Amino acid sequence: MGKTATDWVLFVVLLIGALLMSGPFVWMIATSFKPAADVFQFPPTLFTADPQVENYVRIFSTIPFGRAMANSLVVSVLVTLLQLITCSMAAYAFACLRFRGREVLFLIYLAALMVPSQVTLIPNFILIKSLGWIDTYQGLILPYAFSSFGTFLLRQYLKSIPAELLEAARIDGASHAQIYLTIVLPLAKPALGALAIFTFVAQWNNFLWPLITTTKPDMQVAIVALATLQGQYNTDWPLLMTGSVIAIVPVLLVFVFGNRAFIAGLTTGAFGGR
Amino acid sequence: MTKKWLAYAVAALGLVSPALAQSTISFGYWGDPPELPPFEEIVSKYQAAHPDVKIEIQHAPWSGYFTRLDSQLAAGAGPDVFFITNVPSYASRGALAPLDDLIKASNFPIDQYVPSSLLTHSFEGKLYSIPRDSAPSALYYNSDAFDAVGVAYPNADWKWADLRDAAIKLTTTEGGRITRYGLALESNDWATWVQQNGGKVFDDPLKPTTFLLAEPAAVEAIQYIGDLINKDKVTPNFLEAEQAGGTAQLFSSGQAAMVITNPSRLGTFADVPFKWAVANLPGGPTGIHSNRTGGAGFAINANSKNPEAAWAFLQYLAGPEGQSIFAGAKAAAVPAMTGNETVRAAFKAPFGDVFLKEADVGEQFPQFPRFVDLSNLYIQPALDLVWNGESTAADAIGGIKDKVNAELAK
Repeated sequence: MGKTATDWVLFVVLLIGALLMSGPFVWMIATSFKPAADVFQFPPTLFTADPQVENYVRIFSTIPFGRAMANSLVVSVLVTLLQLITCSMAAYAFACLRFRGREVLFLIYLAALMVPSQVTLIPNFILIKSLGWIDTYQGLILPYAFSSFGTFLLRQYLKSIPAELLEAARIDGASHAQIYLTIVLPLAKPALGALAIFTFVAQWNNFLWPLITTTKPDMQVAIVALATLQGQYNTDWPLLMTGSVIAIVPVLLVFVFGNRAFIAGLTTGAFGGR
Repeated sequence: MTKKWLAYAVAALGLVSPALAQSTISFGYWGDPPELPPFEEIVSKYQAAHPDVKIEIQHAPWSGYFTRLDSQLAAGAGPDVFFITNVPSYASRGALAPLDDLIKASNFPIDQYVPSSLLTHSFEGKLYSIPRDSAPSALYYNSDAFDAVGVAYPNADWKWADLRDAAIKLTTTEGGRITRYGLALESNDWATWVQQNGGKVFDDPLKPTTFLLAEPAAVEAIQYIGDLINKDKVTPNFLEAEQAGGTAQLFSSGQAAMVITNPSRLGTFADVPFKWAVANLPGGPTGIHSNRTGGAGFAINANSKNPEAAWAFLQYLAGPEGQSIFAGAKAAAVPAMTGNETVRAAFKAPFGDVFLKEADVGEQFPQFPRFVDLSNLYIQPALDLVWNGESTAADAIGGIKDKVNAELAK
């Protein structure tokens, strides 16, 4: 198959886009190896003549970064799992069950999407504080166990499952728990995968809530720990970029493997062969 | 047998230790890694001297410190003792415990602090925080650049004209493009120049009734800065300096031969590949020396459950011992307790004398609740016209004089 002219135009446009998108990443990685004096050198250079590999060791001794990465992983993974469970159950109810007031209830639930998180920040903080959950994992995790966005996303997806399929299962004597576990969840894999990626990345990058509800260095998540490298007057840019490179790895892994599961989910399932 | 004794010993310890750890107070502060050692040293020394007190550290990055503090305070929580700037904003909310009575009752040596620095930490005549440092600016200069051009190094007798002459000689261009500026300035230091020329921004920096920036002395100072930027073209526009990574980066990379900035740059410039030194700010045309004052201090939470323990710790933290530890640290802050010989002696930072001399001439910048609004609405836009060369200082500031005065009269 020969390439047409449009293919080439598309290729060039995509290439430019890819370069633009990867530019900051390349710069971040290059900066992580620079000595401090080279960072704002003019004219700028991408590669330093004096690479500082020890930055990747220094970051762990300068701030408790290993612990912070572990905290981030625990929080992000657990929040993602919890949201997958709660959102899919709620979505099942909103999409597959029939009950009085369902649409109104869903609308009210959706309205929560319209409330900016800044508005609920202080009330949430007071709640967590009175529960004695400052500096605890439950304080970091449980406020994010539910998500109206996730429920909305999954409900829209579950709506596309033919009602006859679920009715057939009912007639065969399956309980709601069985239908949810054996029919709906497997079918919803692509949507669950998408939600998992969104949630993990959002949690990993979440700054404000962990900043406010943790006061001990031991409980800091990676993003907050990185911010401590930025001083009022001075910032150790190479070290900050080193930390950023390390902090981006889990997100990258989730993306790479999540994407594969995401595509696999699209092609398998009950209707894959139809 | 030994096992039994061991068990007794453990039991005895178990009985004793809760009695020891009687009070816990929390201590909040910000700082990047190089700034943290003195805080940690003070906490561990205090705990060693007071085994009955446990101090919980609440450290936060500078960028998030006040966000967290605001949320904690709004929820009636927050550390018992905390590091703070912008005292009036917190004192006016009732978040800070007034200190005057405590100071009087404990005979705390408050008279050993720079008076103008205490003003910064007061609100409506009451002191709410004890300053740790004053952050005076100083003139950093690239000695190699001076040698290359053959200009004499700055000295304490320099006046504005000397600074301008040197800046002009030190500026280099290549093909019409400026490759090195003679002098880089911080955008928020302009009031220093007004003071050096015998002018004022307001009649009273804390309780203003009249806007004085349109008076000749002040206008002249603003025009002097504007001319350095636009007429002589020896100082980068503030926006341009920011885009280049800030004044410190301009200096470190050799793109500015002099910079007037804060003491923390001693650390930033430690590894630059040229010789440099620090000098006092030039005097105004009539020889007036003036600087800014400010810096951060330590306050007690008005909601503290344990105010006595908090005050006891604050006395150590902000007193001669604590101040000496801060002054002697590697990333030293210019102490605000300059009236104490021990603290003065502990401050061994390079060019320490220069900074102490500048701290002594520190003057309070405008600081009152509505200043931020007035600045955003009128003063800063007018100054920007001058910095951008779109207007003379007399026209720009003259144009806002009545409006600002009308706002003050409200």
